Amino acid sequence: MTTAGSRSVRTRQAAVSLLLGLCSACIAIAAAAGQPADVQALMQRLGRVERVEVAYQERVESGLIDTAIGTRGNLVYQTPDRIRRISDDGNGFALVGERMQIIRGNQVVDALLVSEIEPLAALVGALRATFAGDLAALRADYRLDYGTTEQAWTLDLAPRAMALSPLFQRVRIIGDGATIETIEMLEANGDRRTLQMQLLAREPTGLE
Amino acid sequence: MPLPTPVRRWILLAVWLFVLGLLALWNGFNLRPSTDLSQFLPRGVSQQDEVLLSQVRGGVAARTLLLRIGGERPAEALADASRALAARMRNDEGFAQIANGGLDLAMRETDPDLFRYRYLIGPPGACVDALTEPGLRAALEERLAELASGAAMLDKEHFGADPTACYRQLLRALIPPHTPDRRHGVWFSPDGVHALMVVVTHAQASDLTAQRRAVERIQHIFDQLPESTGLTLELAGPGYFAVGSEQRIKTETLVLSIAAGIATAGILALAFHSAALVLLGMLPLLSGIMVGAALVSWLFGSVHGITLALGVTLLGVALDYPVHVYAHAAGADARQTKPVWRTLLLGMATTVLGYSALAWTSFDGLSQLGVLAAAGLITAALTSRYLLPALMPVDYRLPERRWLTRLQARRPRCSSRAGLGLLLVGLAGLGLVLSIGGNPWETDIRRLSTVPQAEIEKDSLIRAQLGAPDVSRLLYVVADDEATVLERLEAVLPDLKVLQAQELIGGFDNVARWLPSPQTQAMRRAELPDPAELTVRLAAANAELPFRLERLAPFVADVDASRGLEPLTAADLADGLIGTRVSMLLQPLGDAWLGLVPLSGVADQAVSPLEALAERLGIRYLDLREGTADLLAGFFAETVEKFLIAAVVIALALALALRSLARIGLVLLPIVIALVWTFTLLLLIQGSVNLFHLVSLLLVAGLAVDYSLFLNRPAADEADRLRTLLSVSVGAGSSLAMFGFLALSAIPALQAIGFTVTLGILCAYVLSLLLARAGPVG
Repeated sequence: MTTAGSRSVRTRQAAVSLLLGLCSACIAIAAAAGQPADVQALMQRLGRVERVEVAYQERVESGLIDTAIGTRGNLVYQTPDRIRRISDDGNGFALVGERMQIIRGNQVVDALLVSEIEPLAALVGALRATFAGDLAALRADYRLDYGTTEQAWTLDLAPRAMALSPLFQRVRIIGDGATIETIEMLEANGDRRTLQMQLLAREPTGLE
Repeated sequence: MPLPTPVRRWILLAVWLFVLGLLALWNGFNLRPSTDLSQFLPRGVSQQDEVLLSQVRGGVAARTLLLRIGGERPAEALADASRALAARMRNDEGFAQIANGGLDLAMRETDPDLFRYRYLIGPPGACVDALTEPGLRAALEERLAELASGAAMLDKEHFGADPTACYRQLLRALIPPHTPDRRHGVWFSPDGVHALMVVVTHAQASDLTAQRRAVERIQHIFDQLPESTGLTLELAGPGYFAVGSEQRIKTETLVLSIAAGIATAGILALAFHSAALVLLGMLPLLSGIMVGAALVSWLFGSVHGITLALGVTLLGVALDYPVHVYAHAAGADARQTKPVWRTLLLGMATTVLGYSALAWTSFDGLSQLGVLAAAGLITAALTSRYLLPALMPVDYRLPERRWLTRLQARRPRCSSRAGLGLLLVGLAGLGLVLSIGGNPWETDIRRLSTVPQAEIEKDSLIRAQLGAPDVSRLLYVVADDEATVLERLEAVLPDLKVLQAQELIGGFDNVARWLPSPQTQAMRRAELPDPAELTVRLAAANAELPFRLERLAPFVADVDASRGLEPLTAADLADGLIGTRVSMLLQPLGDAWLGLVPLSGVADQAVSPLEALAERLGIRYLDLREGTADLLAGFFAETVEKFLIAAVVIALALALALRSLARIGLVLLPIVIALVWTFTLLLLIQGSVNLFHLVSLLLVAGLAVDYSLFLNRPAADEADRLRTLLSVSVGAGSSLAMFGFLALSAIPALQAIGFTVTLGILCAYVLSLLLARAGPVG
């Protein structure tokens, strides 16, 4: 029982890193595939990507601090279920299936199961549905809002489940053609995280 | 004796039955049988014994049930069933704690008491010592890194009140030293075949009714779960065993006693050709049991279940008394029967003297046993002697027995010299067995049990799979008050950490890690800065950092509030997150307080450093297994001592009664040989001798005294001699049938009793027959 309290703290940390990692991967894939006409087309293209590697830059604005802070790092997604996100100072996580390793200073410091914590499991399930192009599963957990203008497309993910709503209000992914410009995550308390992605490598190469 | 008229006989019988009924009523109201084996153990003589027994009897460990779910289905299905079962059980009031490795919803809530007291009880590094300017700066830098990485997102609710993550570190300190393997979010055996769960019941281990309810409730909830289809639930743990063994003992004892009763009655019916005599023959034994039990419950307040069972066993001698009465009262005149009664009462008196040696032990269970058996035997003998002859049918005559005449004519006779030879052979065999086998006493308490071996093995297996092997070594401290106990426990922490770092011990659980002594809490409280000082330190720490200090106002307020807190006590935590854990490690012991530090993975080399540090810091090191073994060894030593005294007393009583050295020798020789042979064979066949064997040997002694006295009794004529042979043979046959059935039992205790007595009767009967010298009078 007592394990659970501190475990939930660790899981929470992991949950957020994972969320951002998955979103980043998602965006990188979208960027590679070009600007789709609708969310179905977006899903189909995402499902075709087997591996992608991006450089990311993250910026955090919070009510706790006066000035925004930022980190940089590298992220790799590999079908069907591997994600590894490491910042330049060696912090991050590696996810294989249900098992997640927490990395600090380039060392694995902890391992946990994604299914242990409901919000994390829901998050992983939904974002994996995104990668697999499983629109029905995605719609079960999130309200989707997809829109395009001449300059950009926008995909909003808003959680339906109560488990996720204390975590974040909305994830907004904005792209222009095949290029992702920003991903914004608006937390329930008003804090905002913004990721910018730059594609380094992608398989299969012919997707463009 | 004038022949009683039928009316007088009926009145006598009615009065006897009425008194028996009254005694049965009295016993029904006053008998509180307990079947908890540990309560049969000696009462503690030292403080260590007391701690030991309190742990064996009533500790939380004794209230813990181990569950495992298995079946031919994927691991996910097992995990789902485990979660569903735990969720349902958490809503049930009978269970204090349920742990299956899954996240308990209550755990995600912050425990208000722990949070409020975090600066007094939390790890100093993240709490009281982190309130300096450098400490605060380090903490703020760490929080900033967490904010950047996203790690702080879910923990942000605590940032304003707890920027040093004091509470988070307190929770980390609460992580038990060992946790089992986890799959799909719940505990699993390392091979992944079983989902595991630990349940602590509210009910005491000795409260069998409540334990049975808990066990049945668990099984019922499991059976009702849709998730449990195709899965099986297995239980282990002291409470489950107690319930199981109670049920098993009840059923098996019932079946075996019915079978044994039928066999015994059959033999008696064959021998005496009279249903009335068979039924009447049960009355002395019943009277003995009723009087013995009533006397014990009057003297001791209650009767232990095992006392009752063993007492009835010892009263087995009383089965022979009616047989002697029947054989001799019918067909012999008063002149001939007088010496028979004398022999019967002499046999009873010597056996009673032997049994009453038990009454003077320091062990409650044994003294109860001695009183019950002695009182019961006197009652049985007196009722057999004085009531049975008056109740026998007036015109009853013994049936002719050709086989008896043949047996008498052909029975081989050995000289006393051959007897001495047999004794020497027996003693040599015993010496050989002892020199090869070593200590003959069974001192492993787990085997002094009514639980079948397979169940004990299952229990050990589940414990090993849970990564929580039976904690048998611990440090403990007893002091007048909780504060002193906590101070001593605190003092031992640094040494334990060193031993753990040296890998001499695998882990330990010390309540002082998260509940420091009031003194330490007061010291920490005194170190807390006032709001003005803390604000200044915070500002300095945040000088080059971007935090908005106004968001940390709750932190300043909480530290200030902590300066007015009275130190936290175990009682304050009773209903919270860790109430059960605290009550496990810190508990009242009589008027004093007991603090326990269970140790796991203790290497052999760790024992002397542990003993040294215990000595230095005024605490005690205890190995439960060694401790109980010592306790049992003491028990055996005392019991054997009493047996020797009993033997001397019996010999003296016989000497007084027989007044002839030669006859004493004749009577004693078969008894001694029978005991030596039985003991030796027992050791050879069973490997060691436990409590049940030992008590059964006492019965064997009683029976052997009876056989030998009767067969060596000077007979008036051939018919008298034949009657004696008949009574001894029928008595031995019926006892053999009765205990032979017990020897078939799967319950270790019953099997031990049955086997020993069967073996003993064979030895005693055959030897008495071989060595008897019953010449005619004159």
